Amino acid sequence: MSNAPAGVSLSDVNNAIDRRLAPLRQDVKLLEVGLHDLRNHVDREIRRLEEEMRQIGEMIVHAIDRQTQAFIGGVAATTLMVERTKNQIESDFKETRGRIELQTESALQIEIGKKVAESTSLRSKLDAFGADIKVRFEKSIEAAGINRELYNLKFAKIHDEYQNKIHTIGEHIFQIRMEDIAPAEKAARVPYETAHALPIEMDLKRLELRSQNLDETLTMLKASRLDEVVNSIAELEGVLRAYSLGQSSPGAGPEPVMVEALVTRSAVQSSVLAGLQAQAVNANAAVSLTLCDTSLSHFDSPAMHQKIALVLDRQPSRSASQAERDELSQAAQALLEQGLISREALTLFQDFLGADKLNVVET
Amino acid sequence: MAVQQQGSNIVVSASVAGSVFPTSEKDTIFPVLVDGSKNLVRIEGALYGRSVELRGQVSIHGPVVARGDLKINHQGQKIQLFSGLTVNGSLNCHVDETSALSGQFDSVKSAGLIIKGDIAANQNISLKNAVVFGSIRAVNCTLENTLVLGTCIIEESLTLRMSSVGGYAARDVSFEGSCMMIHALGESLNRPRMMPFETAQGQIIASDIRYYPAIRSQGHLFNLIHRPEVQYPDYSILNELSDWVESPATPNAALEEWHAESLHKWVLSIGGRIGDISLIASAIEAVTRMLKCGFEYEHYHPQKRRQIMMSVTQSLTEQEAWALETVCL
Repeated sequence: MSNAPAGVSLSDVNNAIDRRLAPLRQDVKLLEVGLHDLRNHVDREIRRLEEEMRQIGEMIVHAIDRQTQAFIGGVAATTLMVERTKNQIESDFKETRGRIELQTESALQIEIGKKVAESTSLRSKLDAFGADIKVRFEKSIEAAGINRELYNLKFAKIHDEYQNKIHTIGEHIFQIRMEDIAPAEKAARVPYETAHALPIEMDLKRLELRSQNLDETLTMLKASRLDEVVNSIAELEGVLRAYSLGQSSPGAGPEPVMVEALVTRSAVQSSVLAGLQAQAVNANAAVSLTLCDTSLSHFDSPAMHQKIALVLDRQPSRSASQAERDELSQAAQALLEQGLISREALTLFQDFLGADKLNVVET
Repeated sequence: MAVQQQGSNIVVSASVAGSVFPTSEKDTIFPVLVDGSKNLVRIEGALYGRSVELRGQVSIHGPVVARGDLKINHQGQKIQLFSGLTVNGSLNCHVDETSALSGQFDSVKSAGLIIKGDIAANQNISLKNAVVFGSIRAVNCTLENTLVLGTCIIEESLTLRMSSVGGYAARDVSFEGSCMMIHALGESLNRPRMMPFETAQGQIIASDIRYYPAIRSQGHLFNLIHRPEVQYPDYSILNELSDWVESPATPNAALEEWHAESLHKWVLSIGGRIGDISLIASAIEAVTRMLKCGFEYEHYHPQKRRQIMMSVTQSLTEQEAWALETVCL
């Protein structure tokens, strides 16, 4: 941005000075004309005085000439006196003329001095006016600068106040957001399903325990009461069927029967599982087996183990194939899902299958 | 002018079509009094104030948020808040003992304060003669003659006096007088205390806690066993010795128990009982449908609202239906 004053240019100042100088120049011209007229007037007066003095002189000369003859002899003194008078007159004339010239010059000088002083005064006024304009202009520039600084200060204050207000309002909004709305957010942070997970889990756990308890009770009831009755009925039906087919009496001799059993044998232990029923396992057991038919309990005797060992030693065996191991693993997984074996038992069984130590005897 | 400044209070003495929010800095400093003691004051929008007092007959449709405390005095009339409460300080419900609603509760219709939505407070809550169609979250909470259809998540102490709640999770809980659990959901760090309740008239009411689905057919949302004419089946009793069990528990996120390594809590559980599960299931389903309809009501199509509500109320008891219809406008 330029530092020139807005609205006042140098040409305006020059024009203003010229407008002010024009009447002054006119006054000076008029003054010069006046001086010229005064000088002409003085010259005319001088010439008139010279003419008068010349005429007086001529008159005196004529008078002297006229009286010379009368006063030739004795007028030497008069002549001298005249001479003296003439000299006196001339000196007076010269003095008068000098005084007039001096007076005229003085008047002229005074008048010129007055005019010069007046013109000098006007010039000084113009100079003062110009200086005043310049000072005012500089002051205006200074004032404009000051105003600009003030404006910047005020604007900075307004801006600061605006910023402060924005910050205050924002602070308040965030205060409300963080402090007043926080309880609702805190309440909504955790769903009620999570808040009440413990009672629900406890209900499920107690239901599960209660279910196991009922299952065990039912199994015990079945084993102690129902199975006996069912077996009795089956035995009775067998006897009745024998009679109905016209066979000999039931006590004629041993009758071959087929019993489904599971035999496991290792270097450490062998066992025969027959007439057993798997129950749902609880937390501490790998598997829970209950003897359903007590008449099959003699299969798990040392004599039977010995007989089975002889049979197994005579039969060829092979390692279980991968397909067989997978099938067994899936079957164990199904037992786990039914709750008939524990997860630890499943893991141990899968480890055993993975060790490839399972042999299959085919008869 | 509905909202005006009187001294150092902002007073709302007439209905306002919009919300009552602060418009200047002083509005955030001065307490707000909603004075419905002479006529009903209805605020269609929300209400925010530094500290708020509701007096007389007041109905506020938007949420109520108080920077400080919230004081409620219904003066024997009804105060209805339809979008919950959030209080940075404490919520205190004052009941004039001489008012008609100061006596013992026998029905939700006698409630002087009806709140739809959740109540969240940074400090304490004390409610009397109130129906809360939502849940409560606070540091300490005392409920007297109050029905909370949701759950109470209380960081410190929960005291139930002649009240019914949906469920609770608190550090300490005490039941005074005849109380009722709408759902068998409750856990506390310390053993629950069952104490008698002394009424203002000096009557001592023994502690008795009932399970709502077991007596829902009688239509009571409050336990009225202290009345001679009321009889409930024995299987509806929640027994302190058999239905509250102590169990190791993991910290509950809702109670901010992160610092605790291992906890033993007292849990209300009816899982060990043998009962008619279908009865419990139908009661839970009905209450769930009631809450769902109540909270979703404004989101239904206007022409379907009444129809949906009518279908829900068919499976509700009279008091349940009244509570639902009251909060659904």
